[in-house]
Amino acid sequence: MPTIKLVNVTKKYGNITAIKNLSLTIEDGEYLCILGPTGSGKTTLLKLVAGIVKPDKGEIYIDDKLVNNMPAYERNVAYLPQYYALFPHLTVLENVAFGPLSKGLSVEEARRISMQMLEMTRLAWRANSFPHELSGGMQQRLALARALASGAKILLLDEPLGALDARLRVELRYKLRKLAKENNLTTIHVTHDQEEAMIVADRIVVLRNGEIQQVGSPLEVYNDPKNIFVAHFIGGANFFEGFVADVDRYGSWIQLRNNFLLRINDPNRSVGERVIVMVREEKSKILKAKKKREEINVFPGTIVNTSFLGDFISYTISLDNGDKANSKVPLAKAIGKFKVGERVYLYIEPEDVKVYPYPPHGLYKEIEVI
Amino acid sequence: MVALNNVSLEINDKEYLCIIGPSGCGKTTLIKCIAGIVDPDEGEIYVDNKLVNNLPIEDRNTGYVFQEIALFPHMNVYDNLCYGPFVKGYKISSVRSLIEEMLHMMELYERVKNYPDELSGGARQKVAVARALVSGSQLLLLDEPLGALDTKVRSLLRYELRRLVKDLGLTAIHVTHDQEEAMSIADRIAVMRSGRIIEVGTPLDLYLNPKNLFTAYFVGEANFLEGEVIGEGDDYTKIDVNGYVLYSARKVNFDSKRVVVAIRPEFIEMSKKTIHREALKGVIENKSFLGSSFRFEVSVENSFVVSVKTQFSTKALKFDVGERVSIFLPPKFLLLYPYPEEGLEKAISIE
Repeated sequence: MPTIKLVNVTKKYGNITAIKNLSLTIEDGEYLCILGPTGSGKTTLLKLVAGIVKPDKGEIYIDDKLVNNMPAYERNVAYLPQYYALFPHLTVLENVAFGPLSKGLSVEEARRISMQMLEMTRLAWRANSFPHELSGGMQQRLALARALASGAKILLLDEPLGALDARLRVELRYKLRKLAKENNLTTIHVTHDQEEAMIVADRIVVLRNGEIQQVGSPLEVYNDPKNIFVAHFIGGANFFEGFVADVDRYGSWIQLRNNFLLRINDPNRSVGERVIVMVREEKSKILKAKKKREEINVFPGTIVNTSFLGDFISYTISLDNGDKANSKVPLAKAIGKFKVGERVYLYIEPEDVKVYPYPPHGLYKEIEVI
Repeated sequence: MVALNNVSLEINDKEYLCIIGPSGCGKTTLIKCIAGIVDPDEGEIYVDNKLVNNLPIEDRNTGYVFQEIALFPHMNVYDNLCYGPFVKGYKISSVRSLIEEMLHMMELYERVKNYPDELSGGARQKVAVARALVSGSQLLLLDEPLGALDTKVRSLLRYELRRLVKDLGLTAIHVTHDQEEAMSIADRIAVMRSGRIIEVGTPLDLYLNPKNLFTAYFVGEANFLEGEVIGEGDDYTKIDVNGYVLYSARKVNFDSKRVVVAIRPEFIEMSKKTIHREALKGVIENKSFLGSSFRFEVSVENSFVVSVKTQFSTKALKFDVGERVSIFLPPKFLLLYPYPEEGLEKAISIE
């Protein structure tokens, strides 16, 4: 069970900096997810650990040993690239046994290990099939079995579920984590799917433009996002622009567009400060116009859209001050309750609000992922 | 190989219809038949009550967006958009206002002079959609139009797509493997499997009252338990699941006594105290955080495991792995299906 350590690592491709002065420690046996939009440097980070690309600056350690100049095949890592290639002319079993055999293991030993990996990925019954006879999900599991058969204790996965149907992804992610944990592997899993990351990871690293935005448990990055980008990228969030109108011992008042006043529990702001406030969509509550009971943080508006998400219904409310907000309501509480065009109130509890300083280039630039 | 097996489907004017199903179910073939890229071996296809089986692609007046974004690499955004009207022989001056409007709606205005390789994936996708829209077609066929994009970008663009289609009064058929995408934007969804349409309905209907076991599995998450009907009342059915009694508010409208009970994880109630006379005892075996909710796997009386979803709250935070809990499956959310001949696993298999 090895630890992996990156210290001040920089990697450039021509004049593009893919990884910028990045430091990160991955604990023994940890399941770490690297999450970020396209072009954020996720795959480069994985390739640096695998030894496929070399850092321009900084050090990479595996088990406290500097590996900057160690070739990929000596690092004892199992790397599963996004576009893996199975050997089409070899059977499932032969595909898996290839690694152990080329390491000089006996045929029996290679067979034993390979069958064990196939049992684990539930492919043993297809040992004699050829890759093209398998479904996409099975091919993915085969690639995983082959990577694991090398006996490496470090597993590097680049979008391991990316090529699969949404329904299958959901099934396999639970299995992936279980597999890694049962085999005491240290895993780095790259994904752009935030829900996937939250489910499988012990910790998540959010990457943007080659820089770490935040590292933390799924609950930490969701509940306490360090900046606007993280808040936007992980989970649904409403953002409002405003400035601090007043501060007292217990909190502050934020003046939103057109004099809407929002109470927050943070007393450490300064009057006049320009801010962005963030509220999760499921914490943005929707109240029937008749049932307005709360005194503060109740904002009138009209429902302009509903969208069904399965276990939630999302309502878009056009607030009377010109802002828009989404409110996610659990399905059982929402069925038949609100309709488009209905006058409602948006209610936000002071404790559910996060405040960020207004970014120098504006809100839009900060949350741009497209 | 039969890609489509005796499919009948009617799509209404100005409807946004999504077709979902696992890989290889025939969804792409179906829209290729409508587009005229593939000819059906049997059966008829009508557009506006006009038989189009022998009408070539270019005369069908459909806009098509492919799974792989195909923009002309040597043309900038503006020229890419002009191409459709141009080959149709329209004067560019006559469509200029439509193109301008499209650029405005798609927030692509600053990008008109850029070439495709200078755009992000999301922006390229928008251009591809805009190009299909300005072709002037009243019918838009979208094959995984957001498939090549990051999850976050997908979830933002899907609403724009629907809004555009609705604003322009178009009819859209949108193929996707992403059931959440379909649920959030479709007026109706057609669920396909092995070349057949197994169910068509509104997103809410398919989610709350799936007529088919496969639909219950494929659209949203569901728990499936095998059981036997042991009694029926005026407004309930009593089912034995591994020796534990469950009640469903649904009536059995089939002969089989052997049934499959299905319930969505978020409809199961969970508490540390006994919540109901009919509640079951269980132990939390697994807990994962999904963002707006938590998902638990609860082993019930060491007999079967159900997944339970609860909204993110301080209460949900306090449930831990290993803890004993009481769970209740509300009868009104308990779905009943006859036990499938081929077995449960086969009936819901997507591979």
